[in-house]
Amino acid sequence: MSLYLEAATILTAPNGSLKSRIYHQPVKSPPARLYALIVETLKHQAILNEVIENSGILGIEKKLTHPLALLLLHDHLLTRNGIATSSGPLKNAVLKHKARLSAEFTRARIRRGLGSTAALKEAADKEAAAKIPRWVRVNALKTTLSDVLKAGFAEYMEVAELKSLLDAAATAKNARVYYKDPIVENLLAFPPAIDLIAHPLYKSGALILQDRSSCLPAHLLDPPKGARTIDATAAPGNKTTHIAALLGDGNGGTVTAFEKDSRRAEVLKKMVSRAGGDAVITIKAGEDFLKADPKSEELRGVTHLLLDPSCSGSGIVSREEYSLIPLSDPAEKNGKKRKRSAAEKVKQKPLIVEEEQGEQEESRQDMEKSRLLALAEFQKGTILHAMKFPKARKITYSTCSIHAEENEDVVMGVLASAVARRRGWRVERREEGTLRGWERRGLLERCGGDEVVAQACVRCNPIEDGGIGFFVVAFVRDGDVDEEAEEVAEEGSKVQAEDNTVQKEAEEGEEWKGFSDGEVDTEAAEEKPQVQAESGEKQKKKKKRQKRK
Amino acid sequence: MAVRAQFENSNEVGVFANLTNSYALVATGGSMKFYSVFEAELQDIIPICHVTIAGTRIVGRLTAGNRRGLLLPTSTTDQELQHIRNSIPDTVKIQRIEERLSALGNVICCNDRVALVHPDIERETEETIADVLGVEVFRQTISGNVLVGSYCALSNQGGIVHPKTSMQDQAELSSLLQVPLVAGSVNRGSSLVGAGMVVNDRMAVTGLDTTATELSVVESVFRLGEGNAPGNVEGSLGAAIVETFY
Repeated sequence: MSLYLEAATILTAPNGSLKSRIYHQPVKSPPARLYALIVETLKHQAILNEVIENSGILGIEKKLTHPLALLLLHDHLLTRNGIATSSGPLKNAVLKHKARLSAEFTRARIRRGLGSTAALKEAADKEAAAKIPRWVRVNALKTTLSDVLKAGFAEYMEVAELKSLLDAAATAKNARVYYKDPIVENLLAFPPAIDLIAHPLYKSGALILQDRSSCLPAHLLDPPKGARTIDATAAPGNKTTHIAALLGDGNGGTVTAFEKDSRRAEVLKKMVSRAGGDAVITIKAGEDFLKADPKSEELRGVTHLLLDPSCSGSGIVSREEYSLIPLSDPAEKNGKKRKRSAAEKVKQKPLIVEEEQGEQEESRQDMEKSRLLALAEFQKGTILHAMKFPKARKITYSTCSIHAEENEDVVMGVLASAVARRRGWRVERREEGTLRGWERRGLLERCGGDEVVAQACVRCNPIEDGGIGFFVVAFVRDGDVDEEAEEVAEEGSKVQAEDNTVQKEAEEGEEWKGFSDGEVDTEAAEEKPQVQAESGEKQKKKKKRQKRK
Repeated sequence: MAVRAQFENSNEVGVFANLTNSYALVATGGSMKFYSVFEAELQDIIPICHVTIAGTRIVGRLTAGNRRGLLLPTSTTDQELQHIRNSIPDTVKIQRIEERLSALGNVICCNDRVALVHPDIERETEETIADVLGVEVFRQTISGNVLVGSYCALSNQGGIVHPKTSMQDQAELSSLLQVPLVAGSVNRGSSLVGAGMVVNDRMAVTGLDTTATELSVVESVFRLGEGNAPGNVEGSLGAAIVETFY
């Protein structure tokens, strides 16, 4: 029984990837077996959830929790040997209902138009696999694209479109095709089933397994050769080494990689040294980017920053990991049951329980909401901190979230902030950036109707766009202002500001009332270009003054 | 072969008899004419026993069974149980079940692979049905009727359901049962197809009122008689028409 109990605990653990949850804590059962059980169960969870709901087994067997029932039912209904333990209370709880369960399972299978269990398994495999190609970045620090194709994939054919790659993979299991990404340099896609972990080029660090979406920030950052850069939250180091590859070896460019979590920093170190980025990348293990001093000797020269702060991860769909889908709305289930008048009398107690569940559901949504807002606050803080770096010219901000609260809302919040206004930060317009060819842009209605900002934001939808869900935007500052002059000017403006702080604040209070109200939104959007124009003029004036001196 | 019969002036054959692939139960009393209809076709093939259940003759409505097992209501007396045990093959499991819905023939409709049951049947009963009869058990209604045993006649070859069953329901049922189904009637338009007839893979017995067309549908869907593939209407219709002249 411990196999199922452990698997259920791992399944419900709140954070970390499935692999890390299994391998980083002591478990009694063989980890490989646990992993297989969980992955297979989650692959079939839609149909198993249907069986659980329709059979009402959770209502009768109080010992069973939802994840536990999922795991046991998977083994009972879908494996040849059934539940892999000698009899115990949990196994008995399932076997007691085997007729009902198998009937509901058959019913659900037939509803999906699948004639046999084998067909069901096949369909689930197909559904799970074929959507996301295996993206591989060729590490320019070690090798070149043509060398890799010659050395490792000579017998592979290039296809012109991503769709034809997936089609080829769906028809033949070992299709030897690849696709060269037209936007990001050195990026290849292979069929989902390809196993590259044992490939010599992967082992040597010439290949890096990295989703296309997560290649976008460094590509958008587009640092010139020899630039000084920061990766604010570096682990596991895919983006860090991508920046290093763009900077090139031996022409003075540096990447300072911050990683707060020292355990993850170990992973980062391993990745960096395998990718051959030791010369370019300086790792700040266990150091928080937010506590780094922008004016320190080491960091004051930084011009480009890549920010990929922690997010809700709502866009992540990975190849073999899925997340637990909760059972459908209890209220709905309740309604269905009510039809049976005979069952009604017994229902009194469960009804109350279900109401409580409904409340829990609500509070869960509230919690989710407040978690998003807390994350957004943190993300905004990270950007604002990055904007304080004296020589910073360009910042990319990215999340693997699909929620606008963490994306467009954060961008709008940052643009409205005092730091951004004072120092002349604005979004990099679509036509200026390296991702101008990407079709899916930001949500206009969440950018307060500002077309420029919406077009500046880049979004990827999960699966649809061939990878995980993603959001990236770049902030730039028109750059040729002399730093010291600016600092002087800053101080000057501070003095000025002090004079009428009260007044200004009052004004700002009137102008800016948050995003909740549509009218205020548009007003604010109209306001911004003016502010930018003003600050541009100020800078020009300052320059003139400087020249006269 | 599909034949017509009457039990003491009643056309509801399915009420007074229960026919499976390994035994047949027929109500006692009356003339031997009803019994001899079964005997003519099934003698030396399967045992045909005269029984009562709880002293009544409505054995077809109180029992449910298939090749592998027989379910009896709790009201069956020990004597009756013993008699049945002595009469039918030892390989057939017999089980008395405690179920509020005690007319098992009305709430269970089964062949050797699948059983449709009343949606409100108890969970324990459901499991017992699966164990004793060796079938998959589906809670089901037939065009809104909960008494699936009354509105459906089923063999391993095919089935007839309530005449007003929608095409969609038929398709769903047929995919669950994995046999072809038709919506039809027996006994000159009676929609109680389960109560109006009995059927196994060898023969069907319907009430004397059954029309020739109804009989031909029965022969066709249950594949009884020679050359009676479903769709071969002409041959079966011809036979049925001749029969009506007797």
